[in-house]
Amino acid sequence: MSRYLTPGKIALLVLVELYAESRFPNKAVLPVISFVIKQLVRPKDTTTFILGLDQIKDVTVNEPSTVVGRTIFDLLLMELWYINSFDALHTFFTDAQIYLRDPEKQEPSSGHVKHNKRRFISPTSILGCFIRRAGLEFSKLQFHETNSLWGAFVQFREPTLSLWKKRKLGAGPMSFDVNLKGMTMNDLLVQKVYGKLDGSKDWTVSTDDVERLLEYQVETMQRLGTRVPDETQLQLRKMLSTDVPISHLRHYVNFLNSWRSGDYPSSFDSLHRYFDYTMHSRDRTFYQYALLNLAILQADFGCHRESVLAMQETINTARENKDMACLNFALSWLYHFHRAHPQDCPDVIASRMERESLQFLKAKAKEWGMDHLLSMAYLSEARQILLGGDSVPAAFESLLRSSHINVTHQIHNAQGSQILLQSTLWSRLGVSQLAWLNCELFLSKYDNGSPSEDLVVALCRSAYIISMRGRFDEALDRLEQVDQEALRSLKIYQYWASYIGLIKLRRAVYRNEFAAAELLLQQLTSSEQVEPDCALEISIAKIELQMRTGNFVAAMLHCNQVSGELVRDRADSYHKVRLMILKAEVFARSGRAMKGLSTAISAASMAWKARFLPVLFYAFNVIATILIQLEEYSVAYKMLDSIMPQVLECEDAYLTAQCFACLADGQVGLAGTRKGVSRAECLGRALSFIDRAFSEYSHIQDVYSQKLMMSRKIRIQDYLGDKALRDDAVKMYRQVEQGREGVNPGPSPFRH
Amino acid sequence: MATEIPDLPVLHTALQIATLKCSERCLYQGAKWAAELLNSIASPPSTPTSLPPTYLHPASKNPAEAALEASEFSTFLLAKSYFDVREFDRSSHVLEKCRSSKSRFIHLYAKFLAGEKRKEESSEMVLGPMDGAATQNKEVPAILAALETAFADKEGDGLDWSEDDSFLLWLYGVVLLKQKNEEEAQGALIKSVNLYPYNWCAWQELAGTVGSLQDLNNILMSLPNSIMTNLFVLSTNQELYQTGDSIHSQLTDLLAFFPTSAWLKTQRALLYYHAREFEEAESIFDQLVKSDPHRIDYLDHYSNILYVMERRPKLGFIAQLALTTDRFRPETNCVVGNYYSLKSEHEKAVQYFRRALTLDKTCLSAWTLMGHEYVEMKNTHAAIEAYRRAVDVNRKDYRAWYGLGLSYEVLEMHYYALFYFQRAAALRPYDSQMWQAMGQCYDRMNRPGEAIKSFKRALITLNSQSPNPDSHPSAVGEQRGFDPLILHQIAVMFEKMRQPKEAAKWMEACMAEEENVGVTTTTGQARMWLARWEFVNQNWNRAQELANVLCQDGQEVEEAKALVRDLRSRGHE
Repeated sequence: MSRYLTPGKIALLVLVELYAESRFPNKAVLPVISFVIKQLVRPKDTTTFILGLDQIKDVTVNEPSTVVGRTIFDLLLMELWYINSFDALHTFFTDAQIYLRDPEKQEPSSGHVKHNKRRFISPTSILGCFIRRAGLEFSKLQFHETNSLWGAFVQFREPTLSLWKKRKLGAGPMSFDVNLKGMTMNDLLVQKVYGKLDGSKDWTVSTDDVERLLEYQVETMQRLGTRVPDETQLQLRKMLSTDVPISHLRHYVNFLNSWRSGDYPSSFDSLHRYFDYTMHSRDRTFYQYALLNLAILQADFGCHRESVLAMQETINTARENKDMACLNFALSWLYHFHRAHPQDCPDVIASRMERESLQFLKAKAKEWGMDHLLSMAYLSEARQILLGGDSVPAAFESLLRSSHINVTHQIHNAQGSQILLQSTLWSRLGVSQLAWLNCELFLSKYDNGSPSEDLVVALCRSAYIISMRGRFDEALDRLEQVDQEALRSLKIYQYWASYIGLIKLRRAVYRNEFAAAELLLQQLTSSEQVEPDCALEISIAKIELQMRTGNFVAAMLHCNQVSGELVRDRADSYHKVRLMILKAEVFARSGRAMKGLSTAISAASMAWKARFLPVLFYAFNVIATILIQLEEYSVAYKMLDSIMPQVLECEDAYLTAQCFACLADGQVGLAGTRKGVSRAECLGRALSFIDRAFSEYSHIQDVYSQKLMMSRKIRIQDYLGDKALRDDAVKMYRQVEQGREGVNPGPSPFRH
Repeated sequence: MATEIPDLPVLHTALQIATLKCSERCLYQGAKWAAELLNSIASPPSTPTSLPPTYLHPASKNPAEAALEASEFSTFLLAKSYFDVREFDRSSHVLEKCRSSKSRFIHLYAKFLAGEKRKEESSEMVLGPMDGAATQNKEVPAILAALETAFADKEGDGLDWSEDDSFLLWLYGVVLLKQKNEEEAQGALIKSVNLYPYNWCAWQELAGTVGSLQDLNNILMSLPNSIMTNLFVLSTNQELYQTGDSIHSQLTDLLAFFPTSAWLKTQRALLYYHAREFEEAESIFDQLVKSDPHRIDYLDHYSNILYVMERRPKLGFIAQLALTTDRFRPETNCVVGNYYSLKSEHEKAVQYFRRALTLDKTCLSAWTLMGHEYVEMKNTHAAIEAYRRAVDVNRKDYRAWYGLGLSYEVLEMHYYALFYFQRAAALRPYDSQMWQAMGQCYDRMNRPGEAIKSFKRALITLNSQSPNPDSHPSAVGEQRGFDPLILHQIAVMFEKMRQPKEAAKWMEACMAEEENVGVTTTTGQARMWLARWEFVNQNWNRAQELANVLCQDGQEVEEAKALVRDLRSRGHE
């Protein structure tokens, strides 16, 4: 068990000495020294933990030294083999300290002249710290530890013997220790002292290395929200197999890992274990962090009440200890939690949350200079505005503020939430192209160093937008491109899987594959942890399914139930409005148009107020449908006609198709009130609308609606008496019907 | 000391039995020593096909005693097994009522060891407040009383002393030694070895009571006529730093019997070491280490040799070797401590010596070496205490005495220092270092007469052909090969005594040493002194000559030049 020193570190120290002795030409200084420093500072990737001679060789073997014909690797080898006994190792460490001396302070002495090429290393530089630390750690070693280090070093150097033999005449298998001159490997004495070395892995890895690896791992996991990659797991296992004492940080890594993989008992256990050890070593100052972790853990596993209690305790402890960073974080978390799960918050908290709202958080964040928190607070503000359906410019202002902070303070991991929120905003404004662009932008430009959760969310959102345009296969393909590493985290996987399920569900519903749809629906609703956006879409798909199967009662019931839940949870007003419209649509489709009218109109006015444009268009569509049922054809037509350009901009294939169908209905209705040429004109327009609706429906593969459109077309052509065209349409109808063989064809549209 | 040459098969059997007897009585070190010697016999007699039963449990030769032993056999086995797992009190208790000599020995010996253990526990840390004479083995008086009544009973019953009683006598001696009752102890031990000579433990304890050659010669006559006596005499002579040829030849004789005995070879190496013939000592130890790398005994002495020779890599290697065998042996820790001392890491060295002492409070070399380290660290009081403990353990350690003297000298307590230097010089009469130190001490105390005597004594010891110290300095000078420093010091002493003529003669002798050792600072100083002396005596030419030599090189060029100028001005007159 080594605390710090390993044979690799000795080799590094030799390199530093060579550098200090000015044995590197200028050209070689940069690559070699940056390699050395990379091993000493905070790790950036996983390659710098177990340092082998091969790695050093790769860097140094091509670098010429100031000695003609020798590479730096040759010099390194020479220095390494000059450490030819236990005592020489000891001397080596003692001598290394001389490079640290400050040249100004040194009194001129006679031995000074020959070292005029020596460069001195400042004791506070990275290299200086390394030299000092190495010296200190060496002098801290007990004799037997030093002996183990020496043994490990002998083994470490062993593979280079053949190279060394070429350079040095008379070097043999026993030249690793000068005391063994004239003996062979089979000598009793050699066996005794060095016999146990073979295959021993002691001291090849130090606690310092393990800690560096674990710290790096924790940092990555916390930043990116992923699990431990297999490669790192392997390295860690390799390190731990060398009898190195396990750092308690290991438990924290275990905790994060099992948390991400959704293993509640073991994450709970690991967290407790970790803090058992930290309590011991770092006093009680970290109690609040233990509680904080616990609260988040419990929330993640759905123990909301427990979680709130733990968080309250966190806040109290943080207040006691005056740990503002923790306190603010906890408050912010509680605020979000309160927003997300108001039903689980005790009244005390809820009322406090009302008081200590965002303003408080913002003020605190500003006061303590916590930029990250401030940026998040602005984002929350924007989100809140969106949820409440308030002023869009205000939302943009908050977004901009957050973005400004992110950019000026280089807060990379807040970038994701900000861009995603922006994308949501655009899609609510009905500019789906921009929303999609935002997601893609984030995916392509910020994929480095962003939390994988944000990345997956962006991917899902982007795929969903594509699927809205009717390109289901492309959307599913896009989803398959997800980083498999990210999916190892349970929460992310669930999110991703629910989006795949949702897209497949919608496709199944449109294709009239009811059995498949039912199955998918069952799977989707069985998982508890579904994000609200997704949950709403699933509900909508369910209602749609129920309507298509003609089960209007169930659809209505479900509609009422969901809207009731939304009201209870004080949920997103966007969701509420969607539900209202859906309700109106159920009424309209079930033939009770009048009942739905007021609901649709109030929904439309709400949507307009909040500028939920796609929803507004849906509402218009429903209203138009109702008006047509009420035989107010011209009003319905005019109303829809005026919004059509914007509807097209929304790029929602289903909405567009429905609008076109509605327009056709309006024209047909108008034709009923007119005579002669004007009637024919109306019918002609209706036909063209039907064609466009048909093409949109065929995008989303909505078989039933396609057939519906064709049947209407057939009837109109029939009325117009154009047999050839009618037959064409009939052929088309048959094609549509046959194209979906084995699929429930649904009720025949001719029944209506 | 002419002993009849033992019959080899007899010796072989005797040593076998001795090993068994010792290990039966839990005298592990004695058993180990006897077994080692047994296996180093030159040509062991052909092995019998089966062992007689007496080999497993060598019964007493006395039938009554043997019957007793047989009747108590199972109890004895129980006690021994307890003893082997170090449950001394329990072992002792089991044998409470037993009558046989063997059982009684284990009963008392276990009690003694239990007492020792408790003493160790209560003395706490090394050099702590409870460490030292204040903490005693509390079982000692009870054991002593029990032994005395047993012996008195024996006397009263008119029974003969037998071989079995020798172990009880040994214990008696040990206990008496604990009470510092050396004379009686010596008597008991001599009686013990006479009854049964193959118990090496008894010989060792006996060696501990021998403080000088005189003592050895006194007891020589009362020792048994056995080869063991020869071994004892040899090792005691070694411990008394006798390095004469006779000892060597004695050793050679013994080696003929036991040609592979590592113990005997070690004795040879130690003899060389005491005679400061380090190369030979090193080569013997080298071979020993090569032939049996698992042996740790005496490695601390080897490390001392390497230390003096400043063989750092080799010392490091020996430390590694010792470490791989056993980290928790006092010898190992001494070697490591020596290594750190040579690397000038005195704190670490002290740490390891302390460790050695924690393992074994009677580890002599650790005490002494720790004293040296404390001197290096300028902690004189701790050094004195460490040396004092070393001397308590073994009064024959001249280095500890010398160290004590040096420490007191540092403290400027010359009278004390003098006493210790005298002790050291008594142990090493042929070591000039001791005498020199003593001379300096006298000098500081303004007793130049005694100082001169000491310095003269220091001169003799360097040369084995030992010239007469009282002879005239010119005669001394003729013989050459003396340390100019000592000669110079003698001259300075004479000068102090206002005998400049005598001083001049010694200065001449000192200068003459240049032929052997070359020009040194001391000879330069002597030359300068002589030049001035001649100047005062108005021997201008000679003064000129001497000063001119000095002007060419030497430390006192300026002074010499001034003298030359002075001479010139006078020459012009």
